[in-house]
Amino acid sequence: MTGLTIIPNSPVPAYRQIFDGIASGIISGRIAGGTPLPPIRTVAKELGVSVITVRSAWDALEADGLIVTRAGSGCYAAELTSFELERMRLKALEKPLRELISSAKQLGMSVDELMETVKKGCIAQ
Amino acid sequence: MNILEVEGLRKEYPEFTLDNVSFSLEPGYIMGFIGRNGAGKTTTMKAMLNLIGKDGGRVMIDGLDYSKNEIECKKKIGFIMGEFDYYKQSKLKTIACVVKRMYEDWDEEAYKGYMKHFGLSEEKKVKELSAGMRVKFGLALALSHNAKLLILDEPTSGLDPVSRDDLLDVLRGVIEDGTRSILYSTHIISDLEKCADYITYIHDGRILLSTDVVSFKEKYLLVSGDMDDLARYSDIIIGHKDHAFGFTGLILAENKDRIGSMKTAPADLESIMIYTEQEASLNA
Repeated sequence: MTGLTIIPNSPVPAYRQIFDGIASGIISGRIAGGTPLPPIRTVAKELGVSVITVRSAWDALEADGLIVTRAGSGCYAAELTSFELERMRLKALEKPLRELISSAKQLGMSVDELMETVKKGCIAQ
Repeated sequence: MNILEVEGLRKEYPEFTLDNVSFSLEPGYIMGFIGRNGAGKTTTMKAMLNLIGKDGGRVMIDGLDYSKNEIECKKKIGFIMGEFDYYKQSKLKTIACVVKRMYEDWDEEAYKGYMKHFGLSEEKKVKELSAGMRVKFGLALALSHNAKLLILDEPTSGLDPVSRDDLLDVLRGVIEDGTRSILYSTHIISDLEKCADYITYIHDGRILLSTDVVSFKEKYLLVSGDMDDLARYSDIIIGHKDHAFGFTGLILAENKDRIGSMKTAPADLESIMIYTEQEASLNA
């Protein structure tokens, strides 16, 4: 899988890192719907993690509807409608957004100020 | 069907008893066998293989009862116990010649393939091999009779981090096609993080826990708090270390709603082992 790396000794468990990598790939469209995922055992060998770790990530992805298993032929990136993709993008942003808003509140920023800062930040990046 | 089933294994010594040891392993996975020195890892492996007589229990290899079908079962097993102890002056090909006569299913092509893959020359003498190369030669021999189960007693001890990582790569390659399994003992915890699907944890001759590595870690949480917290929640804290600002300890994740304002963090294997052993020695 391109762009997927595991940071050892991270407080984020390895299976979560794999989940995040694949989930963001699918939600952003970098991994197109219907793309076959490599076999679990191959991923485990290439990333240098145990088979169970990859399987846990795959199970979580499937539970969230991001990948589908076809009996006998492996796993595929789910084919999501633009509505579903939108919903998942928003869901992925939920937590960082909440944190941003609460930090802004603590600093006494108004909504307009926050919006302006976000806009500037986006342009700068 | 499980490739390995150990049920109620028992071995009594005057000073030590291996008691009711049970665990199982399905094809295509690696199981790490952990515990302190003297906890019973090697005794378990030896009793499984009938290298020491057992006082009870049953070992099934690929559906066959080991005690009744020892030769059949041994064909399905490759094992390396402790130090690689062949004649140091002999060439590798001389040793291979002896070993291959023991197995009907010896696969010369596979053997040559592994020797090449591991970068081993048959013309070398044992004494010319590094510790890592010796383990690899042992593995090449163990893998070349189509063993479905590898039993390795501390294969990575004595290896430097690079050789260890290299060997773990080899082990992951062995199980990649999903037909073979590996049981290996170690106390190098980072090996397990990199290369174990299941963990069986033995303490003082008894199995504390045998489960997949993700569940194993999720079963526990690290907590930190001040000394008042420690006193208040002492009934659910499994082992702890005190420091100037309070303490750090371990709890079962199922108790996470009962710890008030204490901070929690995911538990790593090393902490689980250290705190569990501390608690166990207090209760002993």
